[in-house]
Amino acid sequence: MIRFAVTSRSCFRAAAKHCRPLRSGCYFSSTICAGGKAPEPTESEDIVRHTHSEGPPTPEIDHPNAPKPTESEDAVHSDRNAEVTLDDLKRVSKTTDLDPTKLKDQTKASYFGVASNDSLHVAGGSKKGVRPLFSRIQNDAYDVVIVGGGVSGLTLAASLKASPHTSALKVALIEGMSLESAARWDPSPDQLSNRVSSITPASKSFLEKIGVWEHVYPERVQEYDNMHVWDGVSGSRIQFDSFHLHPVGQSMAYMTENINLQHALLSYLSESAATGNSVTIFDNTKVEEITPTSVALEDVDLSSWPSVRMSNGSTVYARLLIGADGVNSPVRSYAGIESRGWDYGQHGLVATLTMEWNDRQNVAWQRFLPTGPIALLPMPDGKASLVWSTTPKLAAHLKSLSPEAFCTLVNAAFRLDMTDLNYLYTRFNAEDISAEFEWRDGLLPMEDEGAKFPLRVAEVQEGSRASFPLRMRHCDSYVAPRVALVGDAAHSTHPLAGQGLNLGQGDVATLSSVLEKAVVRGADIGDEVVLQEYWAERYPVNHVMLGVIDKLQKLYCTDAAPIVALRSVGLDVVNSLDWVKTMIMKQATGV
Amino acid sequence: MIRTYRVSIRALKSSSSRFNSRFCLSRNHSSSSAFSPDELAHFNALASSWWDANGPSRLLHKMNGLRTSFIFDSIDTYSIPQLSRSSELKMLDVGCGGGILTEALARNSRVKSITGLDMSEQVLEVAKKHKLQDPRLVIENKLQYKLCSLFDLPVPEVADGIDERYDVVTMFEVLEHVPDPSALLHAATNLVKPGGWIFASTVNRTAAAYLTTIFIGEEILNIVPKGTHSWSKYINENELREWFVENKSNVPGSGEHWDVVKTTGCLYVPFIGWRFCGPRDLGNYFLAARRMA
Repeated sequence: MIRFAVTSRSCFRAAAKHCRPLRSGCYFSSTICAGGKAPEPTESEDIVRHTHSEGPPTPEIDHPNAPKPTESEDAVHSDRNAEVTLDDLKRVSKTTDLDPTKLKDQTKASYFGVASNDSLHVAGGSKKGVRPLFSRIQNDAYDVVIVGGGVSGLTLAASLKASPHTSALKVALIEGMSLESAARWDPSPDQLSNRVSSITPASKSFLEKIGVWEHVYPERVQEYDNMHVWDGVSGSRIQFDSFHLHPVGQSMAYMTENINLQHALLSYLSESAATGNSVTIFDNTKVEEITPTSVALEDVDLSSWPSVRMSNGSTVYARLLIGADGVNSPVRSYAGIESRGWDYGQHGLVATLTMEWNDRQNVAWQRFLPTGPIALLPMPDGKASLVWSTTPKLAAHLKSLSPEAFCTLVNAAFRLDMTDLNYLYTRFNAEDISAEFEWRDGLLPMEDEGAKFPLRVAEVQEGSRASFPLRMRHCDSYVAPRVALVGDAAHSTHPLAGQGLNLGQGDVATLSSVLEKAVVRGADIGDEVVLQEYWAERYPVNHVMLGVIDKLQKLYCTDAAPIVALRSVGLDVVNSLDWVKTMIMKQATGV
Repeated sequence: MIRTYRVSIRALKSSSSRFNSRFCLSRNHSSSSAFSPDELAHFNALASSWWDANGPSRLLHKMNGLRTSFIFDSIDTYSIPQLSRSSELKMLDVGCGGGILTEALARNSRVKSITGLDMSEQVLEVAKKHKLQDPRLVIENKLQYKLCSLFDLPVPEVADGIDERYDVVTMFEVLEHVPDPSALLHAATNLVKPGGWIFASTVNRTAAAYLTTIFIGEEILNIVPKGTHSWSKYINENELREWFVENKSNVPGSGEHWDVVKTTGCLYVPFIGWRFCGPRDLGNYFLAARRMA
């Protein structure tokens, strides 16, 4: 009878009933945990008396929503179904002994005996002066609590629900922002979000495997199979073509908005909830505090379990706590894991651009300027996403410019010499900048213009310019007892290789297969020995990728002549060796 | 060291029949004879760190996945449907220690009940306490621990077609710690119903095993607590296999018959972990024996 109560807070379970056909945009009914307010538990299923007069004081369960201790033996019960009546009868007859035979029949892979409350709370209700039983907080205890509803966190939730071995795990996800807009996302064709990611073929095939990719709006995904990268100082360049890819003809990467992925993941989760595999989502809910569980219970010892107090007043208890909560991860702080690295002293400026024509959409462009790389990545319908890594001062200047002046500067940054570009940075007037650019651009040799430079930028989407600091971080460990970190909580990197989101997807893929194996083998999924396997597999891979990106960044962040000469020779050599380029592409695409 | 060597030479020479005669002392064991006092003291000392994933029992923790895979793979592959249902298993874990394997088995939905048996009270306390960290184990209530020698465990009743004997008895890393492995095996086999299983693991008495498990493991790398193993107590794979042939093959009178269906060598590779590889007669190995009648 409590079976429903366990998932009653699941907005997805509830939402599933009102689930409209896919893509209609509305998956959340009014029962979404809006404002993070979970529906009140209907009634006290488990009546446990707190008797403070005898023995040491019984600690209060810090859970405002939890049923308050009742004074009378015969508590009022919600009549969810007839079994409750039977239960009352038992209670009245003061059955005290716990009959283990009632408890044998259990669910398969969930770590919680969902169906067993009945018997347990009979015992709990009739004893006096004891600490509460686990059944008291059972609704708030989860196998996996994921902090962070970004792409990594949602992907982990989806992938746990996708595997037959882990689908019965009781999973909760906590997100500080509202997920409603992502779930209801109704994209308009001429607006693009400025938060865009490059999805490698490896990440895409993982999302396909778990059944999420089919929920992605395909018309908002742009693939590319060509990449031009060149040195802004020397002009030395490297070009990757589709024949450098393995298998030949596949794409190098898939560009799409993060919200497209989030929307797809939420659609998948709501579809999964409809088949009974729900994830409890607390969105619009901040994590207030993470501590070891201090609630003293009579029958179990949860002291090793992290408990997460949320801004909605509830507390959840986690067998395994996942930090998918970004660079300043509260979960990481709780686990006491050290994160090391440095700031690049650069900001990444992003913007959504419209190109002068809808053409050549299979090519990605990146030019290394001494202030940082500028990259133009194709998006559908003649649009493009700009990631311009540069000094914080220049980033602020670029954001403050008029749209026309900004577009001219982007065009200039892909074409002009450093001297000319530096001069343009000092101009503020749009017409002035435009005239200067046209004059200087006219002086450039016209040969092979189309193959060497991206199309010109025509417009920048209003309000799409934003910037964020760039840094390199890597955690000493990704795991602690009952804690694991994924994605940016474990590592962050420079966007120059478009790997950030993909490293996180790699983490999730590995972690979910490790957890799958652990469940099959009967291990406790919060066991450090289990989790260490995840760390051992992912750390070296991420370490190499972060290292390579870091060195590339440092190598190209200078205009010192000897270094420029060396790196240009190096790049020219690599550019002439197809097999090396194939090898690089294998690493970059993850296949 | 020299003494160990001499003993070992003797042990190496002993054929499997001598292995029997040496160990088949009596059937009336007092509980103290199942486990020597110094072994007991050794494991008592390990009790507090038993569940520390980075502590002295780390290798044991890492081996656990291999054990459960071995058990369920063998049951799935070699079970005889007419003799046993492999979905509601009644299990006994002999020498359960802190419950590393016992807990993992208890979490398996195919296990109906499991009893962990150990001779060390302190270690069992740790096991019982650790069980409380998993509400599922508490709620399902399939797992029990018993401070008891295998010799003192009453043979479950068989009456009116209801066989209360065990489907599976596991003895992992046990045989090399007891003074009389043969007697222990006899006692274990009596508890298993036809169609049931014994899963055991121990170490071959080879120079390579001495080098890896004792010299490197205990002395050099210190990844195994000192004094855990004594080489002379190791049992060769063929000795164990032949023990079943000689003692449990169509036993006159009872009609009892056992097959050793599988033995597998396993190896700890630093930085990689435990793997099923290497020859079965070199170092650590697992054995699966099935009772046919």
